[in-house]
Amino acid sequence: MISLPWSRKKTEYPIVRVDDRLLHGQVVVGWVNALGLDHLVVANDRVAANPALVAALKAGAADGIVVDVVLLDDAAESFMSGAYAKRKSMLVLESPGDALKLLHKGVTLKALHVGGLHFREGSEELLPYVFLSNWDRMALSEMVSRGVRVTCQDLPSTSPVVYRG
Amino acid sequence: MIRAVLVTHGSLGQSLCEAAISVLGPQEGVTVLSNSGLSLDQIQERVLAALTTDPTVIMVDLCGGSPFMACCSLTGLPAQCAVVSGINLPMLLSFLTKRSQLTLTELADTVARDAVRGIQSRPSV
Repeated sequence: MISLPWSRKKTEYPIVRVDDRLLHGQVVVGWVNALGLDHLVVANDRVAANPALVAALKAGAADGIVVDVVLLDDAAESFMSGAYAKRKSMLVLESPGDALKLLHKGVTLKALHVGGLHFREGSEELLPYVFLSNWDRMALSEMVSRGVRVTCQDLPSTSPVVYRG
Repeated sequence: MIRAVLVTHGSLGQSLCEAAISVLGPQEGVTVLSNSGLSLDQIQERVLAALTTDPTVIMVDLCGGSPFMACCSLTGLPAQCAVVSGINLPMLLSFLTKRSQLTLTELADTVARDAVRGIQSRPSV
């Protein structure tokens, strides 16, 4: 069964996901098939500068799915130009901090979906798949206070959990 | 000797190893890792810890999965390594039976071919 926080309304694209593994099985198989996504955008400055990782990310998607790996600045521009709303796009970010940077660059974000943040030194467990540092909490809380609906959900079949800040 | 590191989702690697041992008997130089609960950095740390100075074929299950992503972007490798995705039992058996006769590059290509050869469709049995 697929539980989507946005299932009662028409899904709005792009879906914006925070996942420290970026593209991996849950995304390229799970979410792509559950929603029929045709476009995956990884917005991450470090990854965009690493040709081996870019090639691996592109190799991992099924035929017919376009994978773009871009700088965060470029993602913000494309987002604001409406380029990601024209198709079934998912924008994947590494951290809540990167999502907040998009907001600061002028992007209007209605919803943010936290897919997976692993344990790091100094992080605390919110859910088995979400460990938040102080900085993560601050970034998410600021987004909530700016009206972004933040929900946690790793797989299409898990129930979304609303983050209230 | 060419070694293998299996990096998979869940306990798939462990089960494949057990299946291979049931066919060929006990094997040396194979390390099994799972991605469960690990970030990309943590997967990379464990893979690096499993490597020696021997050439190694790193076999992962899903092209596009986190084991694949982590292994394709390893740096500071202590030995020559190849990454092959799509591990199945034929691939692992091919590796174990051919590793003493081939170079690392030849072996990586051979196990990938043998994995595909092991997939046959008989739609109307």
